[in-house]
Amino acid sequence: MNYTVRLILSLSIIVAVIISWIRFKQINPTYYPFIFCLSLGLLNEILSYIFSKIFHSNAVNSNIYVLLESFLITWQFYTWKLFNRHRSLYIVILCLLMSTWLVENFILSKINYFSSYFRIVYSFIIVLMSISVLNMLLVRERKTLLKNPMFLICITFIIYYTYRVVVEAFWVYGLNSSREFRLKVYQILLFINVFANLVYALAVLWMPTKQRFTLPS
Amino acid sequence: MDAHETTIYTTVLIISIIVGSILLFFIVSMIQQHRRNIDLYRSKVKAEITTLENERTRVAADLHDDLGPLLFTVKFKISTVEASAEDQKALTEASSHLDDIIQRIREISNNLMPGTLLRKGVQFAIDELIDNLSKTSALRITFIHANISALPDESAINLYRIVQEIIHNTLKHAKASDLGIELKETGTSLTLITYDNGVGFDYLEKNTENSGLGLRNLLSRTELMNGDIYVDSKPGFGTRYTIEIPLLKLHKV
Repeated sequence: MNYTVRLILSLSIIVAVIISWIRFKQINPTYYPFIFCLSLGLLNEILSYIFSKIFHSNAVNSNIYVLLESFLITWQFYTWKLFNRHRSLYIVILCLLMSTWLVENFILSKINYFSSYFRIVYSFIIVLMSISVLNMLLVRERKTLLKNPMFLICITFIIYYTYRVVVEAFWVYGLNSSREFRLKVYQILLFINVFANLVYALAVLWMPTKQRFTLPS
Repeated sequence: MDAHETTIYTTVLIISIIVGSILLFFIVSMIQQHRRNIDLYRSKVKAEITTLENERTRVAADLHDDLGPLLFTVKFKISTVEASAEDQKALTEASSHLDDIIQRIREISNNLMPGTLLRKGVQFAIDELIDNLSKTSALRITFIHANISALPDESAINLYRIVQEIIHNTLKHAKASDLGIELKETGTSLTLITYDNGVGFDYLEKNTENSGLGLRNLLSRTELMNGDIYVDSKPGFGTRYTIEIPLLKLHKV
């Protein structure tokens, strides 16, 4: 797979971003962290392209992006009231993410190398948070789940980040295999990324414009 | 990639497909289970609300049809009693008390199940409710409604109870001087909008606490009609409720 195809696949996020920009003022503010996360994702793809051309590496911007992404997604779960009963857990998760990122990028390794351990940790945390929100939805939601943006986003998080943990594990340990092999494994993530971006677009399209009244979670 | 790596890569692909299939099965079964849960929940709420409304209708009928005429008979008997001037005064007072009791029984009976609701429809019942309230309350209520098509009895009762609950909440908590109620049909849905100029509240903050029984009731009745409630409120800026009920499903409930 050549670089152009990979770039086009990565830029599939643009659909969701455009929809989110068009609908931004109408969308319920509780979804703003996710909207910011989508826009940040697009910005990172563009920066990655520019930095790859100029510096032949997009590690620095990607490392900063994953930190911001993890914060935004955790904030999103906060606005979905996941931490209502344990508000301190929200701070603990943010601190854990920050400290893992700092240790990996400045102590164990350098910021101009891809931080795989951080990616594994934050993907794992996102999957766990998504499962918790799904459990919450199963009890609370009285409408069909298929058109529920929270459900769509959480399911996609579970699929995408589960696979991401596997891919990053291959990237770190590699089974003593060649770079070509690792890249091939990484390519599967690209296709899952396209699927995820399309589901995100649907989720953004179905985000409610008003605050729906629900029972406390 | 050498042959060994190709084998590992194929294994990774197969594992990915298997994990994907398991996740897909998990999602589908979750959605199916959720649908069953919704159906069960709806049947349970429907049974509870139907029992409650039947009981209200029975009590209203008993009060209106049994106790009312009985009190009239007592009043008539009192009026035919020949008594001294002193006793006559006491009898007149008793008769006046009986009038109050009969009037109060009528009101209670009407609150429990307004006859207008079943005879003329929900708009007229809400009009009547507002008229009655305006006699005793300082809250100015305006009710705007376009031509609403006839609703099934159950839905009309639910809609009436929702309006009743919102008015009650506004009187009790909102400290508002004006309440607007709009009921309109917009193509495929029936929309009820209420807005007041009261103190308002922070929805996200309030929603972390236990909602009152009234709000739960409001939500249950709306869900029973396959509708949605949207709340728009800020401290100091009043409260606006929008209730959207799909008409097509409403006639199937």
